[in-house]
Amino acid sequence: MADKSSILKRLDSLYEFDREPVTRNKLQGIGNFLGMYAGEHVAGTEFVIGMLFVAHGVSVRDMFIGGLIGNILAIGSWAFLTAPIAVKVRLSLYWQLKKICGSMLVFIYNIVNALMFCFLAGAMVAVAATAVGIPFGIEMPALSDMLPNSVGWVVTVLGVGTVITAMAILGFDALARFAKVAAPWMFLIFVTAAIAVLPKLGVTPGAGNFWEVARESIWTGVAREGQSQFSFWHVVFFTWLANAAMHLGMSDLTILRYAKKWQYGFSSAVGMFLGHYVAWIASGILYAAANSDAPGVVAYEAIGIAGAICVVIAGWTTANPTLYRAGMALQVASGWSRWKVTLLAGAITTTAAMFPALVMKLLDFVALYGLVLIPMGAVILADFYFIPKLGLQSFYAEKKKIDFNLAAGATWFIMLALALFLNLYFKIELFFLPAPIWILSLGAYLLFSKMYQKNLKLNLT
Amino acid sequence: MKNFYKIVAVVGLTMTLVPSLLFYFDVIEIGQMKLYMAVGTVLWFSGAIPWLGQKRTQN
Repeated sequence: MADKSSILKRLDSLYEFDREPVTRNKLQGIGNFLGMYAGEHVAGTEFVIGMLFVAHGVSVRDMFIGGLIGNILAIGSWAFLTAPIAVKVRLSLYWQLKKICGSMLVFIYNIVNALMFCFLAGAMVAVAATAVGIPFGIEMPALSDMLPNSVGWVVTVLGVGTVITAMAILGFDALARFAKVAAPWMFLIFVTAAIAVLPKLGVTPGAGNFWEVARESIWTGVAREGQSQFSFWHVVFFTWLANAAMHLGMSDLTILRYAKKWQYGFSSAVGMFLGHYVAWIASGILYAAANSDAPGVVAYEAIGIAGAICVVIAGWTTANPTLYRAGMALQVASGWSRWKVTLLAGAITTTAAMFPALVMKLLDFVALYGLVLIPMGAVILADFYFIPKLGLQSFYAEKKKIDFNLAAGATWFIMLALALFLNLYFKIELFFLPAPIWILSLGAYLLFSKMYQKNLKLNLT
Repeated sequence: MKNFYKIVAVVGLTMTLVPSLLFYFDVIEIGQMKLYMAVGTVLWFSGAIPWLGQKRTQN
């Protein structure tokens, strides 16, 4: 492992190409953002999330109204919180965090992010494996399976993970372009598969009984055996915070810094309503008609090989960029070449994918992902809006040439410790923690900054 | 040539959507629906990859 200064140099060089704020001539039209958000949010995760909502017994009202409210909150978060900062500062998340927090804290953030990416990619490898395993007749994991359930499953995951990793090493760019091509077709597959299973559920043309069937057979309001019961608020908060890392967590500064105006943040609506509404509803309908908990089997039962191919592609195209990002972060820590770190990330990912828990508990993992990263988003917002108003220095690490802004670090670690405490002792579920933790992080950063900046000034005089 | 690929892709996308509607309205059987959608999938990628999968500058 290299020393600190070489790690920091590598971190900077990885992001060197976008060190400076985006200039006006590089700004992009709204079409780019609409396409990007649409493609990014119709993914392999959508197959699983819609299914899990049904398994957790959400009702029709929960799904349709709760989902609507949650998505509006998500879109509002992007538009009113992330985008205004993005268009004013025009820096990527990395550089903006570095200026506030210092290189070492950003390095830790990158590593944590990389591990989360590996596990998310692992879930997608597992999703793809549920389709790949169909022709081999392997025993698919069930909703209650947390550990590998068969040798066939392990071998299939190993095969899928190996291929996905190899292709990420050999041609990330080509795969990213392929993902863009696949996106419109994938969305249509969600919709058409749901239409195709409606007759099996008893919904027929002219009968006008969709809502009755939806209440009785799909979103029944009763959780399946072994699953916790979800409420309206679970749906609202999960839908709002499924991408917490991107909006409240501010990682979409990297995307929205190219926007001509802050209102482009509303382009996230395309992704939210196509992916986090229509696709989740569609996958819920599919699951209700299926005889399996495995996404690949669910899709194959509905529409045959096209469905199975969609699940493979959905899992693969989601795993690919996450593996790439994980590899980039690990590259900084290790100094290894790109292919070696992608291989390492792929190994972690594939091992994680063998545990069906990653898929069956995807809702919990997604909530945890947002929770872990969200305090740093609050730090960015506090630094932008409130730190100057308190007479304190924003971009403190850059101004004082420090590697680790203690106020930011304390905010992150203490808020996560608080979240853990609330979860363990007050049994507050993961889904309900990111929002209050984000708000508390705002206050914590301001308080700690007041103490820290004053102390540092005293120490230096 | 690009127009040819465009047409193939659009036909493929149409064959991804329409069969499920035809099945829902009981015009075709489930086996036919699955077959047409599989063909539509092949057509979409055969047309869309050359049409849309141009190399772009990475951000």
